[in-house]
Amino acid sequence: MAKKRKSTEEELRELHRYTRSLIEASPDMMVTFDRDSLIMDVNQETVDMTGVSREKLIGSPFKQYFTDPETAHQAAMLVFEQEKVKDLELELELIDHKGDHIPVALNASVYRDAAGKVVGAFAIIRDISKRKKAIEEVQRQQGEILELSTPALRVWEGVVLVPLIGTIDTRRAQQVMENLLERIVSTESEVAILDIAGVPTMDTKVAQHLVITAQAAAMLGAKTIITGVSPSSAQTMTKLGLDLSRLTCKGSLSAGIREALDMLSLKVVESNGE
Amino acid sequence: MEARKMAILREEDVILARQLVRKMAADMTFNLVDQTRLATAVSELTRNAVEYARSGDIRMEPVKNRLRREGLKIVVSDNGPGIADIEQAMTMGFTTSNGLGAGLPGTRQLVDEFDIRSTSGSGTTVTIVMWKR
Amino acid sequence: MIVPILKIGKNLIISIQIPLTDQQARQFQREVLEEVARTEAFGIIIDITAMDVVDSYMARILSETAIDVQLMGARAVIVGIRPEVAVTLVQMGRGLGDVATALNLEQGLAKLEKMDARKGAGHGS
Ligand SMILES: Nc1ncnc2c1ncn2[C@@H]1O[C@H](COP(=O)(O)OP(=O)(O)O)[C@@H](O)[C@H]1O
Ligand SMILES: [Mg+2]
Repeated sequence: MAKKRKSTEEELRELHRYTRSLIEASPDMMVTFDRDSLIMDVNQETVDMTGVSREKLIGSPFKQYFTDPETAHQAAMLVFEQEKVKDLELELELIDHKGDHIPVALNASVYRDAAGKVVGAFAIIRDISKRKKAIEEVQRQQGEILELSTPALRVWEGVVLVPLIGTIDTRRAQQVMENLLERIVSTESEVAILDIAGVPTMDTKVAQHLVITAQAAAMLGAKTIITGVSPSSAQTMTKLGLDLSRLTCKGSLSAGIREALDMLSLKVVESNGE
Repeated sequence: MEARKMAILREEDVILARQLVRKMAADMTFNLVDQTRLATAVSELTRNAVEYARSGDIRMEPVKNRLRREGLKIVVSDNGPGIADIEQAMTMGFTTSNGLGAGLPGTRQLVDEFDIRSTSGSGTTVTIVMWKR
Repeated sequence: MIVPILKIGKNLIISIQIPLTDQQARQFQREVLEEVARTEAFGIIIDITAMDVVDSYMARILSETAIDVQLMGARAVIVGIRPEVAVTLVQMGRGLGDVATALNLEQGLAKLEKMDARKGAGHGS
């Protein structure tokens, strides 16, 4: 009996060593902290990243290793509130041993004793600086594409054209609006053409932006012609119930340009070939 | 950046306040349209303080939300007569001064967050926030 | 005069260079109307290129001034509205009403010629 019992204990110890070694070997930082967000335990990666010894880490406030301690504290409290957080939306930055700021993601959950009582929180803290850089790069490129895809062209003296291609979200609609108004002023154009033939779908918000754009352009002293309105876009625009009476709409871009020149009292003389 | 505060005592202060908020918004790199929205909102709110409460003050403070987005929070408050019916005051066209009644409802359209608190007899506080895009 | 008013030919050119308090704005409105009456101007141009903020009060003064001028039998065009000011005014739900606008002085003068004084601006054209 005695012998068997000892081996169970040994087995348990073996198991403990094994799980502990996994934790220590983790490439992510792992930390447990209590309700006062004082650190109870850390793994080797945490020691390496922060450059602070295990002895000093344990018992110290979790928040003190972040650039913004208040947000870190908030995050810690949120774990106890929600019992489990995944990819917390709070942006956290760890201060590493070199004093660099490392953006991190936090996954954490509370853990309980045998009686089911919450005794602390277990957090996995992942260095996301590479991922963040990649995202920023994509965003930067998107910004560039955005600018490229909303050019404002001066098609004739007094006529500026903005062709919209692709999906327009609110951000882009806003950018288009500001671009167009800027260009109206800088080119002293009296007519602006917004060609939306290349826009697959338009939601209410975007339609609203277009109407605001046209109204603002009118206030500057320019007229707006919208061309290439698809049936579904037309429906969205009427459903808005906004004052569309001042919007001139033309089916095709060429009809729009003709209208623009008409407004400027310039007639397009059709050549013999056409 | 630090919070700024100024008293609104005269009509001239309405102009100074909107210049101050534009400067702050520009320093925080808000874009030109948003700078203008903020300056216009401040113009409306501080005018109301001078017009209906004789005086008031304005506080401008850079803030961050939980997603660390930067914003500018502005509080305009006064110890004037207050507004008995806020819903009515927020209605486009409602005015007790033969004005346009576009100040409060217009301001709400310009900003991301708008909060108005008022008790009859003890003043009005309007808080607005604009987040950076 | 709170804002200098230039008479060029048969027209008055008024360029608001500094921000106006409400009281100054009312004075501006009064002085413009007096000047239109005194000079029997054909039309006026109000240039607001320098105004970086036009709130609901100033917008009202501007549109009222233009309408009053038209009631007096002259024509009025507002020029030089900045894009960001236009966006802000539209978003607030208050534009400049039916007042005629143009991008710059030159286009404003051309518009004055084309306008029908009695009917005013019509549809912003
Ligand atoms: N600070 C204030 N104190 C008391 N009353 C106010 C205040 N601000 C606004 N009001 C009331 O709300 C109404 C609407 O205000 P507003 O939308 O700015 O339009 P307007 O100033 O043109 O009347 C005012 O006419 C006034 O009765
Ligand atoms: Mg007001």
